[in-house]
Amino acid sequence: MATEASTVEETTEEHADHLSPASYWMIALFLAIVTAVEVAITYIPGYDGTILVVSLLVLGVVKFLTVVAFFMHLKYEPFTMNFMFYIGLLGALALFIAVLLSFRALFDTF
Amino acid sequence: MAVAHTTSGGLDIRKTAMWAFLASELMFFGALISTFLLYRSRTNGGPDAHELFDIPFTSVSSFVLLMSSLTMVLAHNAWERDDERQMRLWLLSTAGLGMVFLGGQFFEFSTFVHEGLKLNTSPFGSSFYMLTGFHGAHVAVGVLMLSAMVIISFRVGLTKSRGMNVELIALYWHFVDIIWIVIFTVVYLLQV
Repeated sequence: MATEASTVEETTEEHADHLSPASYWMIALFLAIVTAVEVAITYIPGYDGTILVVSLLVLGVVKFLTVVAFFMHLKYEPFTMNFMFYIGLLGALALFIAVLLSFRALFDTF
Repeated sequence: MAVAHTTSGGLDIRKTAMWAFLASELMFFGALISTFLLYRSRTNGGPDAHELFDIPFTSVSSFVLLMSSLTMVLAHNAWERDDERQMRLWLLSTAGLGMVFLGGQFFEFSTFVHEGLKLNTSPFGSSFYMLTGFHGAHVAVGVLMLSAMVIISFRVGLTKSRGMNVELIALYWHFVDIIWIVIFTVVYLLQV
């Protein structure tokens, strides 16, 4: 019983850092604007090649990390959970590079 | 009898397990995205990404899924405040947006098949359908879990003291969203 009560208490304290609904609406607005920018730059004449690829990847990473940090609350989680998630992400990136390097396709991909 | 849900380090074991599961899912989708990028130009004379992809349509689908992450986090927030009525409303909104996304994907797949891209047309078609199809299957599982949460909420209640199911499903749902962020950028925007 005591364990259950302390778990609930810890969870409440842990969530005290979470944002308000208004902040979540602002983050969603930010994500929508970034998505609109992503789509818009693909239509700009002359904005292509490496600069387009880099811009889209940077904007994608910004959206990814925003959702992970604020909507998934990873920013407020202990180190162990951050470690697990980012190890998975690094594993996925390592797999991606290994597969494409094996087929000599890494630099033709984008 | 009380059941301890914490690891020896004091972490909630269910949440820890969910993060470990999501890490493994990252590698699963990493493999599917790598396969797509490897085969994206092998069209066997069939249609390619440039001919098929309708970016404005997919952008709307992406927007819908992004907004479902907002409604999910609002459901989670209501659950934290023990506001069950608001939580149900946002859970239902999330499930509804998930179904809209799935409807869009069904429409997109039907259009592609009509234009000549079937699962066995080319390595491009196979890898595209496998990647986006598995993502769609994850969305469908999420919609089922959200619906189950709403039913459970009506039948026995889903207050904070009853466990952290809403939080775990929220993690899963946001994960589905971040995978789509990667797919939208790498598979759609970078290929047209």
